Formats: sequence, structure tokens, C-alpha cells
Amino acid sequence: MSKLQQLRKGSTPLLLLSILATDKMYGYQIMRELEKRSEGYFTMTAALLYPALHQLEAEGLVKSEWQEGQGRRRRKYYTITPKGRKALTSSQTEWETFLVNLQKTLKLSTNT
Amino acid sequence: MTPEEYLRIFGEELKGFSPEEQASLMEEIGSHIESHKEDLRTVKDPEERRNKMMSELGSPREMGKRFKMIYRPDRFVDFLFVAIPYLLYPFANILLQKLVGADSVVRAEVILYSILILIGLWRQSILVTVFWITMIIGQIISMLLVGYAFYGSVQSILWLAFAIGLLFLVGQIVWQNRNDLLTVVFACLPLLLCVYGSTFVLIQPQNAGSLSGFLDRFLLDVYMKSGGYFYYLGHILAIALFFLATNRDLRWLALAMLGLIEAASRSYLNLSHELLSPWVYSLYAFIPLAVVLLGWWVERNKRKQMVMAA
Repeated sequence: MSKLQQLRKGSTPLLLLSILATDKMYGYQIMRELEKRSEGYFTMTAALLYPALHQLEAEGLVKSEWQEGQGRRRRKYYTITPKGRKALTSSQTEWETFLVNLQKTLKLSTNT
Repeated sequence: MTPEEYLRIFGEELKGFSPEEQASLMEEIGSHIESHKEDLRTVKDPEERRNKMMSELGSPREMGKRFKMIYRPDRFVDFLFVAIPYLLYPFANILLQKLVGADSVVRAEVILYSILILIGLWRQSILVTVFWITMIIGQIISMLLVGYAFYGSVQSILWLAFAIGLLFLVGQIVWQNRNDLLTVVFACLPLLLCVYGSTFVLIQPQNAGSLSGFLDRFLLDVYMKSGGYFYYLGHILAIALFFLATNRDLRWLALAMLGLIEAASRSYLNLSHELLSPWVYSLYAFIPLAVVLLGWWVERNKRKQMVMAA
């Protein structure tokens, strides 16, 4: 796995929580929303998305409920919990600090 | 690969899960595939449509492995928390006799087992917690039945209250996991044996304690010739299979072995002065097998229904 892929993988919980912070969604909807918001930069296969969602649920950061669809299969909707919102805020701060410092360091190295 | 093949492979990866867990995961992924299909209606070429969908689904085996990592915490570590204290038991018993005296050994053991229950609760391991709770309850019951006069009424009431508290905890665990029949049977089997075993001893005819039956003599023979190792090693082997096997049918088999070993041995360990008559004994040994078989059959049917629904 490349370093960039590792970084992307590490950001998966943050990405999912940030999407669910706006509204409750089902898996496929989350996948499309992620693609739309990042203009295709972040894509996630179902094989990665669903275990990640279940992991967040096991940690109490999101909760899920089944809802009947009209004439179709039921869908499992995920909602962010108050604990998830807290985790999102703290993750956002951590990532922003990381990115600011990374950019600073990169600028310094290109200027010298 | 077609969506149906995808779901089939994914289902194969979930064999260690209970039918309810499997059904829920299969339904969620099935629902995802359906949403994807609806979304791809505008793509006219069916081949292109399928390829696009399959590439966005990712590997079904990979997905199954990831789910296993989330829902199947390391059962090997859980097994160690059961096997190591169990294997050290004879040595610990001798040590405790020297340290606290023979009269207080049982109480010291109960305290040690309580620590293991706390470890089980801390690890959120149902199996470790339930295993040691059932061991303690058995110990407390025999302690109170045999040594009521020795412990006195105040201490006996406290021990009884402790046992009831533990029973309540087992009840809560069983209720929370009522959809996982394998766990429910694992939790209830020793308690069931203890309850109906004691009842059988109390209600059987007074003169029934004979060694006339072939089965009775055979089991006593096995126990005497193995020097008690039949129960000790058989128990640990069955537990190893139950904790470490990933195949659910094998785990049911391990549970049947465990029930049989418990039934075949415990009466000679705990009820040595009140042997059961052969036919009562046969019933005593048969009930755990019947319970396990029933549990396995119900779960198998549920699994079949789930596959049909998917």
C-alpha cells in the first residue's frame, strides 16, 4: 500500500463522520456523496465502506436503523451520535494542524 | 462475477457469524447492490453496467475479512484466559491449600475466578465472562450444600446473594445475545446440568445408587482408569475447539462434546456419594446432547431461511 493510500485509509473515519454530520444516510448514498463532495478524488469501495461504518457503530460514533423502502428492499440508515460529533471536531482540529504544518514545511523546503 | 455470485462468496466468508448477523449483513449489501443497479439504469450496455458495479463493490472476501476483524475479536486470547487458569488449577489448588489452609481453598478459588470474570467483562468477552461465572456458581452451590454449617448463616447468605447476582448477570448476557443460539447454549448448559443433576439426585428413589448398570460401570471405569484426566483434558480439548474453530457446525460439535464430558464426569466428581441409577444417569447424560442438537437444528433452519431470503 502506497503512503498516500495509507493516509487516505487513515482519514476514512473522518470522511464518513463529516458526511454523516449533515444528514442521516444509507451506505450507497454515503459512497456517492463522498465522491460528489471530493469531486471524485475520494472513492470508496463497498468492501471498505461497510466495515468502516460498522466499526464506527461499534465505537458508538454512529448509530443505525433499518427503514422500509417503497417497493424495494429495506435500507440501513446511519446517523452520527453526539460522541461522533465530538470525535469529528477533535479529528478535524488534528488534521488541520497536520495540514498547516505540512504545508509550512513543504514551502520552506521549496524556498531553500 | 454476477451480484448473486458476489453475495454467495460474501456469505461464505460469514460462516462463523450467527444466522441473524449473516442475514443483517447480507441484507445490507443486497440493498447496496439494488441501489447501485437502480443508479446504473442509464448505462445501456449491461456488460459495462456490471463491470462498473463490480469494481465499486470491491472484493467480497476482503469485505468478509474486515467484518470478521470487527465482530470476531481475538478468540485465541479469550481461550488463553480460560485455558491457562484451567490448566494451572491443580497446582494453584495445592498452593492455595498451603497458603490459606484447606478449609478456605474454595473461597480463595471463588475470589480468583471473580478476577477472571472482571477480565472477561473488561475485554467485553461474553465467552470468558460466562465460562467463569458458571464455574463460580457451581462452586458456590456445592460450597453451600456441603459446608453450610461451616460457613455460618451470615456468610452463607452473602455467598448466596453473590451467586444470585452472578446468575442475574448471566441472564442479562443471555438476553442481550438471545439471537446467537450458540452463545446462549454455551452459557446455559453448565447451569442446566447443575440444576437438573441436583434435582435428579434429590428425586430419584433412595435405593437407586447402585453400580448395576453397564453404562454406569463403564463411565466410572473410564474415570478411574484415566485418573480424572478424562474430564480434565477432555474438557479443555472441547473448549479449545469451541473457542478456536471458525466453522459454526464444528463449534456446535464442541459444545456437544463439552456437554457429554460434563455429564459423563461431573456426577462422579461432585455426587460421588449419591450415584445416580443407570437410567437416570443415561437421561442426565442425554439431556445436554438433546439441547445442543436442538439448538444446532434451529440455527441450521434459520440459516437456510436466510439463504433463501437473500
